[in-house]
Amino acid sequence: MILEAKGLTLEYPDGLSKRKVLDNINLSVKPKETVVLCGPSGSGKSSLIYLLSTLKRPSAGTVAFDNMVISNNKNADFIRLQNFGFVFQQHFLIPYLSVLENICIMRKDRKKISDAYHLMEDLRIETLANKKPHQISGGERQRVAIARALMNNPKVVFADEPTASLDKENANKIYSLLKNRTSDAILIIATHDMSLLEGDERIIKVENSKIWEN
Amino acid sequence: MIKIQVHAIYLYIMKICLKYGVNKEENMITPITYYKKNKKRGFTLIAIILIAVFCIYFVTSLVQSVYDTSKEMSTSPFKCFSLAKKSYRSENILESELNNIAEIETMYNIITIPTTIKTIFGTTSAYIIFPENSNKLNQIFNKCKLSLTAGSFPVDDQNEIMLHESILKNKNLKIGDKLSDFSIVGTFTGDTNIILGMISESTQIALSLKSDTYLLFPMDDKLKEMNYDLSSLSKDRWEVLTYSSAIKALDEDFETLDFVMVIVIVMVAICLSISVASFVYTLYSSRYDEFAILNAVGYSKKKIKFILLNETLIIAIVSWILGFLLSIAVLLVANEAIYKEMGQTMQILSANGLVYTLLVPIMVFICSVVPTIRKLSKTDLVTIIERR
Repeated sequence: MILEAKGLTLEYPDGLSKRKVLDNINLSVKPKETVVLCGPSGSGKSSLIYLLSTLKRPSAGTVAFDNMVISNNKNADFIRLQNFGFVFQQHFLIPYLSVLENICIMRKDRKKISDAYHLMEDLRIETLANKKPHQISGGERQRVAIARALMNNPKVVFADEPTASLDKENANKIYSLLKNRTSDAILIIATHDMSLLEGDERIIKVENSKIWEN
Repeated sequence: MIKIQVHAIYLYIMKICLKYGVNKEENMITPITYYKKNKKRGFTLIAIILIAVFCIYFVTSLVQSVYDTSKEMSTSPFKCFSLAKKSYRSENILESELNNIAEIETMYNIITIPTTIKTIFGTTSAYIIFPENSNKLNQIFNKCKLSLTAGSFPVDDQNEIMLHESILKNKNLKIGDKLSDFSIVGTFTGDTNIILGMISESTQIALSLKSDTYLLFPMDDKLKEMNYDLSSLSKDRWEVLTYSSAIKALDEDFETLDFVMVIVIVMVAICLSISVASFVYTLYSSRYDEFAILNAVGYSKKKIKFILLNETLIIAIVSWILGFLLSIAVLLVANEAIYKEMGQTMQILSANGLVYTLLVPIMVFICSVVPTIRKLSKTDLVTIIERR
């Protein structure tokens, strides 16, 4: 299941003219690949993630997944639900739900709850199941967010600066965890912290609306 | 056949539930999740709407009770008989004009004196009826199907009266007390709220009272037919009081009060509803992070709107029902403890009250859900995630 972008362009109106954030991006990602998007702040890393994941619609070009065009697709919500997982810089956990409920945000049948417990054990947060997000630390919240992203066994995980708000030790742990847990899927991660990398990643630099692969 | 139809309906409902993601077993976020997890907010909201509904229903019922009490007091006698009073300009009218009306079974020449009845917000009037003698008083009493509950009947040439129990309670009187110049000697029950009495000749002269009114009973209980015939009497010569004319006069009296009441209640309902709606809207505004992540993980905007819509609908309906039940309970207590003691009438189930209280959930729904859904439609939820 290949994730493929062709001629992907994103532009915003800027006064009377338009500002191009991404210009004619072509990219193809295969399963088991970890793609690291790096570049300075405001270079368009996050925008590229949002376009690839259908959270945003491109101004031009297409995104295809498993040979099906998913950009501008009416069922984008359903495609995201079935195939994609998300981890953002902020955890975006729902404050009034427990950790377990946040992880099972889409479904709460018995099998899913059992899967969630296994996932929590793997991520070493099983003791937090009934706690609310405000009762746990930043690192733990990000682990919960990762668990939520992995709950549906996604084929692609998008992570936008998932370690930006964590200290060095926690950042390394979270990055390794994310990488290990998505070894069979595609992981697309935007980060400016190159010290996290383990050496087997595909590094793509986003700069001046273009991408440069190393 | 019925079983098949029920099954088909069940399948159809399940299909809709699955389509919109309201299968309670499956979805983590359902329309009741938010308030189930935020009980204090849920209770606060329910309490505010409940109090608003209660206040509106209670006030409507109080005003309605004034009308009902007045109606009971001033129109109930005319369900049994009608009155024809000689016009003061033509005193030489003959009884024969009434005798010509075939539908009149019996008529009694009487003296009437108006008296006041208390209501919650003021007073209304009732009649004291003085027939020519105690024998005729007895006949009127029987024709009105009244039953003596205490005391005795007034006797000839004495200033004595007997009252309907509700009037006695209303005036806070008892047997032996006096109502103006008349001693209360008896009480009775029945569907006709009147005061019957005997008056001495000296009092009649002293008060310049004349036997210028006729109390008319219809043939075979055909009151409508008799009243129809009475309408043919010259209006210059006769002042006819029937059930419909009494209702008409009452409605005219209450027309202004009703109008003012409707204006006040609608304004209060709108103000209360807007206050509640702004509270709900503020709650929603603080939940945009939640909507953004739900949208990102796969909840469509349509599904989020559906959840919000149902959340408010459930809260509004539950509060309205509770407010209505509370109003009924309080009114039942008020009716037993205050109204019945005062001999007044209260309609506990009021259609007007129901209609006015419906304004609250409708306004809350319109003022909170509509702008939120509109805002949600216009907002790109991804920008909320982007800005963080």
